[in-house]
Amino acid sequence: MLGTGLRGLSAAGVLLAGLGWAADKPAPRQTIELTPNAALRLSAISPNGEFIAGACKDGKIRVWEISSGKLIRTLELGQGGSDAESMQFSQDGTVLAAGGHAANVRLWSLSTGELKDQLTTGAPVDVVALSPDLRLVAVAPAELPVEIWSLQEHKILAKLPAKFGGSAALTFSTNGKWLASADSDTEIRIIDLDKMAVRATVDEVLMETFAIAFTPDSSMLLAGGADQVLAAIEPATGKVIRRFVGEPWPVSNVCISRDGRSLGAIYFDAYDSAGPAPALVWDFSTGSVRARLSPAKIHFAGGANVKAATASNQCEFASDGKLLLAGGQNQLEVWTIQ
Amino acid sequence: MSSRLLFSLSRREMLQKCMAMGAITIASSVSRDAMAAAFEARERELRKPTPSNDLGPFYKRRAPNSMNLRATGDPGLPLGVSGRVFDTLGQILPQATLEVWQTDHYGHYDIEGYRYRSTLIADSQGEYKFDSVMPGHYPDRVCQHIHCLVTAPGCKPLITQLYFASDRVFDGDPDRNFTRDPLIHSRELVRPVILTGDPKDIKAIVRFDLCLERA
Repeated sequence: MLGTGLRGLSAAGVLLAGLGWAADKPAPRQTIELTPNAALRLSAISPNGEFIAGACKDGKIRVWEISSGKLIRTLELGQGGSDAESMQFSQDGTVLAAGGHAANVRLWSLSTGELKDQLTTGAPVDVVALSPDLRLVAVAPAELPVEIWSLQEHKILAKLPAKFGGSAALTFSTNGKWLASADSDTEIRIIDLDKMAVRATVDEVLMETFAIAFTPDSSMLLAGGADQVLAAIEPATGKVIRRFVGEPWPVSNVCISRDGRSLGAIYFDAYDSAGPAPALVWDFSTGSVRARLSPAKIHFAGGANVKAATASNQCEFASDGKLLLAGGQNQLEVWTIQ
Repeated sequence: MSSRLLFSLSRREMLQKCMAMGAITIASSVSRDAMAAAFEARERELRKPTPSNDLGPFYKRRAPNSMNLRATGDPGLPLGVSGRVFDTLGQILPQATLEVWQTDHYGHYDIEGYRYRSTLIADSQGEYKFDSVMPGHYPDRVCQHIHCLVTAPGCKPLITQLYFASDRVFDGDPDRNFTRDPLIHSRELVRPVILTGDPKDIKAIVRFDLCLERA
């Protein structure tokens, strides 16, 4: 029966494999080959772990349903679309936003595949993020200050100050109160969205941050980057409350489970792009490492190319607690961490 | 006339002064104004901003102010880097802030501390200098390099990198081979290396002037 299923899915361009797992040495439950014909440049996993989107080298964005491995949408980026630099799902997983060299941000409805909206930003977009209520879009234009756009009015509501431009990551809190921006000048800025002003900067993180995520209750911001530490930060003050020290490499991505109990991070070996890129899972309350994962089948992008690492290497917890890891080529691994 | 005063004159004022004093003679049928304009355009062209280059993942703010990045006994070829900071109008930028960071001789960055990292302030003539060692070959990069972030009031921050013509990657011909490192977009960032001292106490000297765009 399993063989029949594999053949059927392979015919559809999707392969499920890699079953098996041992308690002492975790292994992925499932490996999904996403694109037999068009390798991914960057990927995004929906916050509920339902979908994964990949910007493919043939200029299209493809969206797969993770549970079945089925391709559910193929979205046309249009002119310049092959140069998409950033994608993010809305927090409810119904909308996908993408920005890139075409100097615009496009939003698609996943239920219909229709282009819902489009913003013309005037500069190539490095990073894009959607507010939970879909009223705001945060945009990091290449080497320019971060902009907060109103989707309804199609205008910029605020531009964030920075010593110099560029941002590696943007994320809204789930309660819609905060926007966090991990900027190239190494500052993490936390914006109070009611006042459209910077509420706090993080003094204690001195090197560039590449990955940020709010806890589900919005009480803490998790940040990881070049200094090889995951910091848990209080948004209102910018104070680092806790630190999680794992691998001696920069962090390229971070995620937290919906119940707030598990924290995941992907690292990359900045000295060797072909080297290992492990992922760690912590118990968030105790700070103890629950699992160290070595995705053998996924070739993670990385090395000195930080942008490739942060764009392609994604992690997310599914609603059932499974950890999803996506690598730089064309695979998604589904791990079950007990 | 000090160089500071010279640079404080506008280009037009300087030209007029030079013409009045005979320092510049117009030997052309073209009008004096046209020649002055052409001279100005040529001067502007010569003051192109220093090409920018990637920040990289290892910038760390709050590096201490130190002109000596090399500790006694550190392995590697001693290196002295100096230069002047000015803007595209030719005005020197005293008190410009330079943050420099590089690997050690073995190609490793100090993440935990501030080895081979410094914040330098240009002097009243816009000059800066520091002593270090020739950086090693960072494993995932092709060429030896030193990162540099320069800021000054009224100017756009400059993020760039210094490369060395002596790097073995260039096979002695940086004009032809500088693109062997895909991150080097401009030959201008590959600077000549002068060796001084005697064979027992050799030191490499590099000059790296930095030109910032006005904000």
